[in-house]
Amino acid sequence: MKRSLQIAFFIIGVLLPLLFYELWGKELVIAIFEGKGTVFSGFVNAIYPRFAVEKNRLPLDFFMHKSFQIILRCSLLFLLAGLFFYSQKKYSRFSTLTANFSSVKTSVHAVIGLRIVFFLLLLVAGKDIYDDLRALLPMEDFFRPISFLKVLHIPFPSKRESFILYGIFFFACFMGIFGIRPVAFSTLAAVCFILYQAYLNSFEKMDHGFAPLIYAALLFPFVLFEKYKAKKKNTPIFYSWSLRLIQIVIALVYFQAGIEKLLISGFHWVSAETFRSYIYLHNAPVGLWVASSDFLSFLLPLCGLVFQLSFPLLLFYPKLLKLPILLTGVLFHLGTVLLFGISHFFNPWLFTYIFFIDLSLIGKPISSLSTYFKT
Amino acid sequence: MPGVKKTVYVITLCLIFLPFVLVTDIFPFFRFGMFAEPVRRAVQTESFVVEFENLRGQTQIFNPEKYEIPEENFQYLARNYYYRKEAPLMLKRLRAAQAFTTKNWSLFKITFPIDQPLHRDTIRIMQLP
Repeated sequence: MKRSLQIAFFIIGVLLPLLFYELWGKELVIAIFEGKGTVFSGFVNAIYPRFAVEKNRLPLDFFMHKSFQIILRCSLLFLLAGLFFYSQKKYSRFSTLTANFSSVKTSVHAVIGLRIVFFLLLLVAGKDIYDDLRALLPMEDFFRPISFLKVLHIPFPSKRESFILYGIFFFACFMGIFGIRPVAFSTLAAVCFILYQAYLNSFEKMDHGFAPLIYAALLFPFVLFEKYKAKKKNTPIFYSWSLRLIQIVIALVYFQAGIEKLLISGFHWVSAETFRSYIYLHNAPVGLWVASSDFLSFLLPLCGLVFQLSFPLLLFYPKLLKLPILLTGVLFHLGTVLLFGISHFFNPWLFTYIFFIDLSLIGKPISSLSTYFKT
Repeated sequence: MPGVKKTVYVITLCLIFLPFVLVTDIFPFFRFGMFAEPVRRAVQTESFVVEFENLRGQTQIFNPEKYEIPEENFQYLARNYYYRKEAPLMLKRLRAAQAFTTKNWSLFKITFPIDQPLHRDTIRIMQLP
């Protein structure tokens, strides 16, 4: 009976959004587009603030397509979740596989190395906190707080507040590097970094350049806590679920970027015309040279898409695929700089590759310097 | 710990997938839809330029990067103000952000086909004395 209920729950989860869209959804989208107040208008404005702008420059079709995407993705997720839970209950081999998959073998030394490199990279990523916020201060009138800044009514920081934020962030990262209360200070560093990013993103444009680093920073305190417990139990080698979760999240970020292209544009995305259009939008010299070749204009987006969709394979076959996928990732980000002139060579997305690398070579010698580094 | 593990796994995966499902960013969780939209070469694209006169009466183009706002972000900002019909407010705010007295602030909208950036149509949206 219980299993039947579970199956019914997932089937309803798949079908209900589609049914809702067919019966009421389309009319609701048209009503909201035409400015008629509906029960969903407030919700749409809250989660989709760009709607106020985009409805003036894009046709109704765009919003119909977008709303259908939301419905489709809801159904798709219910379907995948249903298949996952069903397979877990039905096949013991699958449940053993997922249980093993959810943790990764690591060592105390590797986490020490990871801790030091991660906080150094976080320092690099946040080195301009004070300069950025101080430079933005005259533009304060354009500040439109997002997310928790809006909910908590947090204003744009003054020079002094920016300096304090900068100081706390640096202090927390240094404490993290030297291993003093690493769990607490890594949490504090993550909070400061997210606050800084929230300020930067509150000028009507979201920058995805630091997204994987933010995710990693949010989960990293759990890795340090697991290491602390392993050290306490005197188990130099241990299985870390939180390190595995960071790896899964990074892989999902790439996968989502790939699947978005297919869901929004279909296989038409892998066409020389689409690729050329993006190149012409950015006008980078190398990009314009590539655009003159039909072969490259077809091959490069195809390779990019295959790379993004296949990134999660690295989790399943690390010995075989880790090096090729991470190297392709470096080339991929290098390519976006050269072809489109966006981002820069020290892309923060690349910083997160450290979570796939065994850094015990750094951690081991550091452990012997216990006078300077708490291990 | 298994309880914590399960909770963190479920919450994290839900939050990671939420922007994907809702097709929007919910900071600090992101939707990775960059470069996903189909672009047609025949479509006109648009960019915005702000000009003003400095103390010496010379015309200058407003440089957002002086304020650590990348050009791409400034284009979003200008486009949003333009389509919200708030161009005068935008120019007033930009003028107020300057450390020196400036005048004759203008917002221009430039449209051109994606593959022919030199075939431009420029319209002065408004001028603020």
